Amino acid sequence: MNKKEFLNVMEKRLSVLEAQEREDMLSEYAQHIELKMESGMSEQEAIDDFGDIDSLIAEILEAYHIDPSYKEQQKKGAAEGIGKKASGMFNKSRQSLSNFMEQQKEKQEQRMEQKRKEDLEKPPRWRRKEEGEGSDSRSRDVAKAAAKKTGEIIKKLLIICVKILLVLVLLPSAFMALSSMFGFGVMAVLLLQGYPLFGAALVMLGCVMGFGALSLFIVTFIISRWTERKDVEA
Amino acid sequence: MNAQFKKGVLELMVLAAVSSRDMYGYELVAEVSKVVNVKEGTIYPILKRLTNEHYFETYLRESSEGPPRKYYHLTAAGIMHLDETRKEWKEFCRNVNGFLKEQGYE
Repeated sequence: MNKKEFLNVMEKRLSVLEAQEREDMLSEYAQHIELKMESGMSEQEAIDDFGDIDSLIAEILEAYHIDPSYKEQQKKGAAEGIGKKASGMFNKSRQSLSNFMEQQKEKQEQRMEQKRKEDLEKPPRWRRKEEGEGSDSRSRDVAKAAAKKTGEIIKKLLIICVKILLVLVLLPSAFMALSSMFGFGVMAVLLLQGYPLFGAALVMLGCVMGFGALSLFIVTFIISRWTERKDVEA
Repeated sequence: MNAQFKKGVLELMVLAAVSSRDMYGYELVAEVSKVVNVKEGTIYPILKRLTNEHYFETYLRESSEGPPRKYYHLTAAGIMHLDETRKEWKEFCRNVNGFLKEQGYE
């Protein structure tokens, strides 16, 4: 093994280190070999003085608190060469995606776990029944949980639809309430000026109260549903 | 000599060698291997580790022949570490020697 080969092997085996650190290390060893050769040794002798390269590399990695056996896995990866580099980006994005999925799955599992706990806290009669069903009940539990989940989703969708409808009713009725309030004001002023508009003013007042009550009712309904859901979430 | 013996002692020797004057790697290896039969390559990882732990600072200095050399300099933390290690070593030696005497060797 000559100097170049020695340094090449080292560079490959130390690929786990940061480029800067690796360069540092390699330059030290390169200089060491050069100085040895200057003092009259042959290239071969200088390198042989390092002893077994495996144990040398192991010692270097140990100084960085890296497990030398980790390199074995790394070597396999190195064989893939350029292809690995090219697929690096793809792998990264795929990894982040799979991480995301993993997180979602964990969350889902946590939710299910909580559900199960809540179920356990139900009256003992329930629990006894469930325990009696034995091990095959678990798969049924999962199916039940899935069904519950889809049911919940449908329920939520329904609630959202109803809310949208309510808002659609709320907006015109609120508008009507406001405009009839304005009308009532106009009527009241005219009435005070002596116009015979007593009946129209009463109608306007009725409109204000009717639409106002309707829109307030819808608002309270939406708000109450909302706070209820918040309670469940908390 | 037992490799496990050396491992612990080499660090102390390297620290002590650099404490007298700044040295570059090859010089240090030569100095230490005068006393302990050490494999050439094993000093560098120690130097690296001690540098990463801020016991050494390094700087480059031109040499009359060849490329610039990296010199190692003992920092304040390094001096403290050396003192501590030396004390530990002395106590260790005293204890081991005492034990050996007790057992009838020496």
